[in-house]
Amino acid sequence: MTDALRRHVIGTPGWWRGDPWLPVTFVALAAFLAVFVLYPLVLVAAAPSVEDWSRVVNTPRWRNATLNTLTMVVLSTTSSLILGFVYAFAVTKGQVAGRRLFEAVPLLLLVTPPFVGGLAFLLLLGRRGLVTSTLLGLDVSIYGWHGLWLAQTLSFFPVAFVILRSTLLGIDPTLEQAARDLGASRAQVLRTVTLPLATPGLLASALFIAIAVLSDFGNPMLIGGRFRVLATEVYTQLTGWANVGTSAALGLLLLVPAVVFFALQQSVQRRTRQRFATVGGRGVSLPEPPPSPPLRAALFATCTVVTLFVAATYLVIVLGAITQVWGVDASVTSDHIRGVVRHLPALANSLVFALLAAGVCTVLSLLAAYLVQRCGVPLRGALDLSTLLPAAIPGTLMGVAFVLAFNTPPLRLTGGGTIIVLAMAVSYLPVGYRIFAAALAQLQPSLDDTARNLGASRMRTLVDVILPLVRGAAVAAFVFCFIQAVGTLSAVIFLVSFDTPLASVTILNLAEQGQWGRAAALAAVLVSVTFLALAAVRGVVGQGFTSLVER
Amino acid sequence: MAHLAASHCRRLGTTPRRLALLAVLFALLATPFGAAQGSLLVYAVINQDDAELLTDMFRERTGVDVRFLRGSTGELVTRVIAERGSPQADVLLGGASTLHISIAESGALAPYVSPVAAYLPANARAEDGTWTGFYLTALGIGVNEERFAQRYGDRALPATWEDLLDPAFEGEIVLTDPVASSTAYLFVQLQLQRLGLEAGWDYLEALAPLVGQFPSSGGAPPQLVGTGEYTLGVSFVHALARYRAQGFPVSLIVPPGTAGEVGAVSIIAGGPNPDNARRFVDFIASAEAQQAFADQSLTTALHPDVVAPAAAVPFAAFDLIDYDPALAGEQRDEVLLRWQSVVD
Repeated sequence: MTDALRRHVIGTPGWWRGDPWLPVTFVALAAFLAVFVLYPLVLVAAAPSVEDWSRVVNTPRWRNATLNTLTMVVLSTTSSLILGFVYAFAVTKGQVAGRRLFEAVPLLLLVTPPFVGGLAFLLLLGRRGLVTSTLLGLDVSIYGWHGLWLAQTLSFFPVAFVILRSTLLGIDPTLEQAARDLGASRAQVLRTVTLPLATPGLLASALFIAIAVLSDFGNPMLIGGRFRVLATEVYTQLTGWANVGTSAALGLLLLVPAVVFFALQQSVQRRTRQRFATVGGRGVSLPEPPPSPPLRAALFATCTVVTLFVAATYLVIVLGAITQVWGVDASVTSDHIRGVVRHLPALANSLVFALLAAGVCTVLSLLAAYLVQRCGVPLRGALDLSTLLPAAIPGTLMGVAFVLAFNTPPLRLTGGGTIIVLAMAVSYLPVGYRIFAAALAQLQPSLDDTARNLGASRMRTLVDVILPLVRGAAVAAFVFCFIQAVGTLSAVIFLVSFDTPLASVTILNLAEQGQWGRAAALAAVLVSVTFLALAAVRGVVGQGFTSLVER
Repeated sequence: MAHLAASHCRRLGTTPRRLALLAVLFALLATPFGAAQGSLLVYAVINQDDAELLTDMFRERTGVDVRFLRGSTGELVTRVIAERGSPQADVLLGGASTLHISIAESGALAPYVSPVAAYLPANARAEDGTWTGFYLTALGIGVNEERFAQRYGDRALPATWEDLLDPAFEGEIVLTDPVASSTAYLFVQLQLQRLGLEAGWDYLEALAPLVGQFPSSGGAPPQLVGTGEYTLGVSFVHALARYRAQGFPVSLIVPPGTAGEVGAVSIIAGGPNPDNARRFVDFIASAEAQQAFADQSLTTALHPDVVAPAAAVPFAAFDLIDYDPALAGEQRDEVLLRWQSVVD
C-alpha cells in the first residue's frame, strides 16, 4: 500500500528515462496548471476573512441556498443523465429514423449561449409564453425549482449525450454480439454488457453534469425565481456588493461537493478501468438487430420532443431578430440584423478566441490524461485533481481569480485576448480531460507496452498509437470546448476589455436592457457563424461535427 | 512546382483546400489586440444604445477615437477598484453618485471640476470634483395594464408605496435584490428613511413575502412588467417610460415620497488618456449632449437649457423625500445583512 502510494507521489521508478520529451512535457504541464489553476485559486482561497466565513455559515439565506443547490444537483444530474443516455442510445443503437438530424440537435443546444436559451425558454413557456399562454391559454409560472429542473435538464443532457455517444460507439460490438449469441435477451445485453461497458462514460457524464449544475448561474438567474442556489449567490455577492470575501467563501463552499463527487467517481472508475478495457485490436461484427418496434417508437418520440423544443427555441430567436418590438409590434424589420454590423469585432473575437482556446484545451487535456493514466509520472493525484478543479469553480469566481492573479506584474495579462483564451481553455480543461480519460480507459495498456517494446518512446507512442485511436475523442473535446467557449459568459465577463469585446457579453447587455431585437439578431448571427466555423473545422480535420467519433 | 507542392501536401495528409482553410484561420488569429493612441476608454454603466449615442457624438465633435465597454454597475465598480494599480479605462460613465463617492474613497478617481458644469447645484457634483452629475431619475412603480385588468378588473391602480402591501398582490410583484442591485438598495433605504428604521423594516418585512421574484439586475423589473410576466414592479421611472414609449402596456406611478438618484460621470485616476477624459466630462456636461441623452434615455437632464421630451415623466411630478445618501452608504453593510437574514 505504502509502495503504491509512494509510486503515486514520486512516480514509477525510472519514469523519465528513455524519452527526453516526457519530463519536459510533464514539467511544462505541471507549471501551466500551477500558474493558471492553482495560483488564482490560492488567491481566491485567501480572500475571505474569518468574519466572512462565519457570516456565510450563520446566515439562513445561505443554508437554504446550499440545500437548494444539493437538491438541484441530485434532480438535474439524474434527469440529464437519463435523457442523455436514452438520446445517445437512440442515435447509436436505436436505429431511429432521422438519426442524422437528431444527432445535431444536442450540439445545437450546446452552441446556444445559455442565457439566449433561457430567454427563449421564457418566451415559450413563461406566463406570457407562446406555448403556455398563447397556445394553451394557461397562466402558469415556470419560476422556481420545477422550471429550473426542466431548464437544467435541457441545458446539460447534451453533455451526457456527447460523452455517452462516444462511449457507446467505442464499445466493441463483438461483445454484445457474443452475449446475443449466447442467448441473452435485449434487456440482459443492455444490463450486463452495454451498461457496464458504458460505466466510465456514465460516471464522467455524471461528474460533469453534477459540477455544471453546481456552478450553473444562468438558468437559476433567469428561471429560479425566489429559489436561490449558491452559484447565483456567488455572483450576487460579487457583482452587486463587490464583496469578494463572501463571494469567494460561497464559491469555496461549492468546491466541497465537487471534490466529493470527484473522489467517488475516481474510486469507482479505478475499479472499472481494469475490468472493462475493450479496445485492443478491433473486432468486426454482424450488423446489430434493430430494437423492438415499441422501444424504437419510444426512442423516436423522445428525440422528436427534444428536437421540436429546440426548433421552437430557434424559431423564437429568429422571429425576435426580425420583429420590430417583441410582444408589442409584430411588424417585420431588418433594423436589428443591420444593427449587428456594429458588433462585428465582438463576433470575430468570440470565434477566434474560442478556436484558440479549444486548441489549447484539447492539447493540454490529451497530455494530462495520457501522462496521468499511462506514464507513471509523479504527483499523479495532484495533476489529476488540478486538471479537474476548474470544473468545480463557478465561472464568475474564476474570472475574478484571473483578475486578481493577472492584473499586476509579473504576469500582467488583463486587457488582452490572451487572458480570455486562457480563461476559456482552463474552464473547459476538465471536459477535454474527462473525454480523453474515458477514451483512454477503453484502450488496453498492452497497446502502449507493445509499442514501447518495439522501441517507441512515450511521446512517440502517444502520437503514433494513442492519438489515432482517440481521434474521435480529440474531435469531441475540440468541438465541445469550442462551442462552450463561444457561449461562455461568467468566466469572461470580467475579462473583456475595450479591444476584446465578446458577442456573449454583448448579447447579455442588450437582453438585460430589453433590446431583444438586437440581442436576438446577434444571437442568431453568432449561432450561424459558429456553425460555419464548425464546418471549417470539419474541412480541416475532415470530419463532420455530427459524427464526432469515428474509429 | 505546383504539382510537386500538391503531392507534398497529399503526402502530409493535407489537401490544398485544407491548407487554405488553415491559412484563413491563421489570418484571423493574427488580428492585433494592440491599444490605439490618442483615444479615450469609457466604462459605461448606462444602456448600450445610450453609450453608443454619447460616444458617437463625442467622436464626431472631437475626432478622438473613443471606445466604451458596457457593464452592470457592480461589475464595473469591481473593475475600477480591482484595477487601481494599473487602470485600464479613463472614464466611468453613469451610475449613482453614491457609488462614485464610495469609489472616490478608495482613491480610484481623479478630481476634475469642469468649467462647463458650473450650472450644477451643489448636490449634483462633488465638492472636490471627483464626480460630476449629468442626469436625474427617481423610483416609481410600473404596472402592466393588461395583466392588472385581467387579474383585478376595475380596481384602481396602486398610488402609494403602502398600496403595494395588499395581500392580493402576492406573487405579482417584482423587486430587484438589494444585495445585487443599487436600484433596489435605494428602494430599501427610501423606506427606512421615509418611515423611520422600525416602521421601515415593518414595511419591508410585510412586502417581501408578496414579491414573486428578486432578480439581480436593475433592468429586470421593467422588462418583466413590460412583457406581463408580473403585474407590478419597482424600478426607475425612466426605465419604465422607455418600455412604455416602445409600446408596452406599462403605466407609470410616481408615489408621493420617493427617492431620486443623480447619475454621475467621473475620471479614473491614472487612466491612459487624462486630457481626453476631461474633454469628455466637459462634453457630457454640455447642453447638446444632455439634450440628446435625455431624449433617448428619458431621464431628467440637469442642464437648465434642456427641453424635457414628451415621453419622460416631468421632474415636477417627483415628490422627493430628503434622502440622505451618506447615511445610506454608512448603513449599507448593516442593512443588507439584516435584509439577508429576514428575506430568504
